[in-house]
Amino acid sequence: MQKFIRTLSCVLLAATLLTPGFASAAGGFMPYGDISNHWAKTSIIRGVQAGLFAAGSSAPLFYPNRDMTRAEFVALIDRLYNGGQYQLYPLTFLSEHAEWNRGEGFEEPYLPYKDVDRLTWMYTPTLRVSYILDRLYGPHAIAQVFPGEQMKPNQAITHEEAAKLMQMFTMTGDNQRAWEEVKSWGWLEGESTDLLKRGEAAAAADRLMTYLLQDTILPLLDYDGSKFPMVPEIQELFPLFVTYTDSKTSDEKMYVNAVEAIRNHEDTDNTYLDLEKLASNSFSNQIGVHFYLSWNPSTPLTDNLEEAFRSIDAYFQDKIILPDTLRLLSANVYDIALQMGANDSAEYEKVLKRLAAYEPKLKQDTEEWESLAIYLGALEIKAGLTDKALVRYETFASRHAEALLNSAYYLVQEGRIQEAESLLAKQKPKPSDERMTQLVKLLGQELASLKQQPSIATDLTYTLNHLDRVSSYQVKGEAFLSGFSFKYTQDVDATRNSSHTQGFYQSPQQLVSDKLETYTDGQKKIQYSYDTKKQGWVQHPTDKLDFVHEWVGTQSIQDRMNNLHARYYKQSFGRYDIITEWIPGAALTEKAKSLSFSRGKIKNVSLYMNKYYIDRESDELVKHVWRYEEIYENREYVAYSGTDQYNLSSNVKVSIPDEVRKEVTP
Amino acid sequence: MKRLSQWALAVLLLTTVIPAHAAERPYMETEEVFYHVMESHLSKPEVKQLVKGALQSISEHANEKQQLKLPVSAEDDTLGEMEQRMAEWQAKGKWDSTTINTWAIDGMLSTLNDPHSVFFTSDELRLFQSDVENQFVGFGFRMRMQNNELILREIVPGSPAAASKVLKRGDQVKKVGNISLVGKSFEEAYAYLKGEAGTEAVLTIYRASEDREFQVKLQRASLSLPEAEGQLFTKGGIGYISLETFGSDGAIQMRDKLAEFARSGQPMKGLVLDLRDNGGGYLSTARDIASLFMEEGLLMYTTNRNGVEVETWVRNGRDIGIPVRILVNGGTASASELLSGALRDHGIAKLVGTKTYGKGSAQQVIPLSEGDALKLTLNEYFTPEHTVVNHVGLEPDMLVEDYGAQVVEALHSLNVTNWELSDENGDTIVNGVPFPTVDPLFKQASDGLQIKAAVLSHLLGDKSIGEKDYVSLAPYLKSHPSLQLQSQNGVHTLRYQTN
Repeated sequence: MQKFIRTLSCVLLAATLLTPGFASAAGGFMPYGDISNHWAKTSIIRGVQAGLFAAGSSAPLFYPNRDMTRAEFVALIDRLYNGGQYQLYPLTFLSEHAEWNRGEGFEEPYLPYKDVDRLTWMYTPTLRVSYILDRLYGPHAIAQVFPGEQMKPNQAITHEEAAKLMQMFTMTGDNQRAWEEVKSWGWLEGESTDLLKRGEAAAAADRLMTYLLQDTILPLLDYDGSKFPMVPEIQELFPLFVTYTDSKTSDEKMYVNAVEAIRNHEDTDNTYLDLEKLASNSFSNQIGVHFYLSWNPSTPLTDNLEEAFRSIDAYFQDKIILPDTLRLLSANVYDIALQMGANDSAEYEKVLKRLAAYEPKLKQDTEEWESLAIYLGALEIKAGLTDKALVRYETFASRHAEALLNSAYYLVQEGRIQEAESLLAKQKPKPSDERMTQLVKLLGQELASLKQQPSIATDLTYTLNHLDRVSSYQVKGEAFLSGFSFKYTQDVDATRNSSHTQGFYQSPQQLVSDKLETYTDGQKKIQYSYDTKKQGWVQHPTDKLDFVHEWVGTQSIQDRMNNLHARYYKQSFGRYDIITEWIPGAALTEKAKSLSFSRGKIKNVSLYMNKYYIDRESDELVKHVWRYEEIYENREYVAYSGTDQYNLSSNVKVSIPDEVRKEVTP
Repeated sequence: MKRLSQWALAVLLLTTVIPAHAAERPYMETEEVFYHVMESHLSKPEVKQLVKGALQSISEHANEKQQLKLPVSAEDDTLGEMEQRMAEWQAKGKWDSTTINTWAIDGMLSTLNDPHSVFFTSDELRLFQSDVENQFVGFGFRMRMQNNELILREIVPGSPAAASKVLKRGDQVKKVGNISLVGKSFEEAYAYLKGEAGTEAVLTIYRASEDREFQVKLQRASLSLPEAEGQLFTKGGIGYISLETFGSDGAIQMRDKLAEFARSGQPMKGLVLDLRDNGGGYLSTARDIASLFMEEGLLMYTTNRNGVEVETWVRNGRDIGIPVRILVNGGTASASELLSGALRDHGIAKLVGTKTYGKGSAQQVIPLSEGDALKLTLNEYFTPEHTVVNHVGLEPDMLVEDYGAQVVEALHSLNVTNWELSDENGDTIVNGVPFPTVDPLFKQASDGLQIKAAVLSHLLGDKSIGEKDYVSLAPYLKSHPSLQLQSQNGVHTLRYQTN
């Protein structure tokens, strides 16, 4: 149904993406008996409302002046992550629904400590935090925060230890600088060696929540091509536009009922017949009538667009300045344009022309103008007029977060990083403007990281080449492909140009797992695999590409960066450097369209991400995590993800047994 | 990993998908069970075998119920032929589809030689699940099969059986209503005794100690029992925990018991874990419980029909730090054997009692259409030392037949030196902990007080006493100065101190 498609389409989706996972605050609520005079009272209350702290008859007091223990703080971080996990998704690749305290596959994660037991309250949250840290920063990352065999969970946590956990939400490239970074964000104060009081922890959590609800790290990263051009979050999607009292005229009643129906997804043909009646009589709220008529799922999009424009006409007829209203009406036009443009990109220019006609009616640089201009710019970008949009956005970038984000993003896209930097240098937001202050700082960090792209690419190339130079290595891994789960050990013998893989797999249609064994002859480009049902070996050629991600695998890092717009981001934590790689789907789909795969032509690459964990001392690859999603012309959806752990010092020899070659049934 | 895709492709083509047009298929449930067994059962059965089993079973039922002769043809060896035959026979016998499906399913499962692969109706499934969770509807007593007699093993506090105040441990249940349970198997007897909550039945009870038979009317009620119970022995800093089942609360209750012992303040010197007559439960609970005994270690290996071997590890546990004795018997099965085997292989526990049941297989409950279910054996497991459990059982480290003597032997091996044994309400009380023994500890005879020979033998470490029946206590009181008997108000207490 069109209505549901609309609900999912761009403008509205942007709104849901930004909807916080934390509950909002309400007044007059005092969860504990010992905080009414405490300086962190507001933060503690907000924490309870957001589900960070347990309250109720079993927890009557908060003890704000007591030291917070390590386990308590870890549990707090777990809950903060849980509320804002989508913010870190580009770096974790962990899906929201992954039951990640049990791992994603056969291997169950566990803690590197002897004093945090399975059957304790702290075990699950600690394991989850450890698992996220492992994913972000490599094996045993939590030991960088709490070193040793014992975590000492009941020991008071220091400010620095707390900072090392909170830094996962920042863009600091190095865990040695965690304390400075966290301090610079104002989340913690004092000295690094101070013990953290529970009240201070609540205040830190409160500040972190505010941060997580605004823009987060890597604000310019658009790994799936759905983020830019950015448009503002719409708070109220179904307003009445006019306030009605209890005593309504029959027309007013009809209107309010229609809006209710649309809001509750209970609209019928009659809903729109009613609205049409109101459109043709003297009912005064014509903005609302036409706005909701544009939602009619049974009329063509062109009609919906007409109604959307009529609502803007009505707005200007009213001659009342309401920037929020104009923003919603413009968003509505933009949303319909996105649906029409999906089929024919020429539509963007047509819609742009019509919407731009209203611009002269507005006073430049007012909030009312901005609420229209942000969408004019977005349509300009969609219509391929990026330079025009950049000029437009720069004029109000210092007052408008989305304008600033779009300016920076498209300058970088055009290769104009220096201009982006000087634009950013001009931004001097007032400290009271928390969102702009945060955004400017994050953008500064991101532009700095963008400038490092070539050197990160060189590092990664070096590490991957390292793999080609060793004579043999072993990989232990788990992978998931279209519902199948695999667990395997692969011996790679470069000297003989062969590899041997052994393990097992679980089919989604089967209750029991089955063995997996293959030999690969790199010279002859043949893979032999054992077929347990046939009880014999079968062979496949390996020189033909099945999937797009296999083709990307053949491309050098340089080529990925230059031709596929691959984005690289490097972090350091403990002994590992972690490089994350994203290739935006649009660029990849475009390049791959000219290639043919045995799965058929590619239709869309919705996700391509890699994460490499590199031992800094030896430059050796320790672990590789990946997640690819591809849709082919034949409508096949391929989701492939997994984790490989490398052991480059393992000395393996692989020679393919004669019986394998001989027994092959073609 | 490169080139995994090839693999999945090959595998996808081999996958059999169960046909899903439900309504018009009268034998869908038979088909479902057929496919599940063919694809997943540990034994990799042949098609022919299942078809024969199903038809044989229908044929036998037809003969038994209606003297209808339906010979099984050797030519029927495919699913299609089987269904054709079923349709033909159903028309002759005029049974409904449920009946013939049930016979066919039972027949197929009977060819597996696997008593643990079972078809459950939705009611039976519920019963099975409550059993694992230690919840049940009943009169409130537990039974044991002993010398082919159905003996009350335990009376649940707060249950209708307890409220009646006439039943005692050791009583024999002879009849329910007019149905005699004498000579019936445990399962058959259970089937006659069960019923909905609120219903009533008259039980005929025989009490051997008084040589009398009496009747009692009881109502069935819904009862939920703790999975882990226990207390400290009064002497020697030894804890006792009895685990009834490995349900979802078992590990937490066990953890709390251990914490309670630690809070007592006395230094712990050992633990007796009673897994006698514990038929198992969830694997995850067994693993959580193992984590209360060891910091880290292999719990078991599991294999399936395809020869895939998987290791299951215990992680982030805690070493118990004290010697452990596990009491086992022929009713110790499945998860109980898994835990016993693992703790023994890691040198944490020794097993005291008799050989365990020998259920070294793991089942999964697979939902079928109409709410029924199939409990199917998918895996066999082995202890960390690769000891085979299935059909074999675990041999105890200390073989002791007698129920009470098993406790005495366990405590002996934990270096308990002070003893106090008494007899109360049919329980044998060892150092303050009551054990529901069938026979009393003491018996009055013409030549004075007698004691169970096995208990005395293990108490004194004197094998010449033997393990059978009762022996006169008097000579031993003379020969062992630290063995002392106190009798008060008909309660006898035997005290003993070893050197």
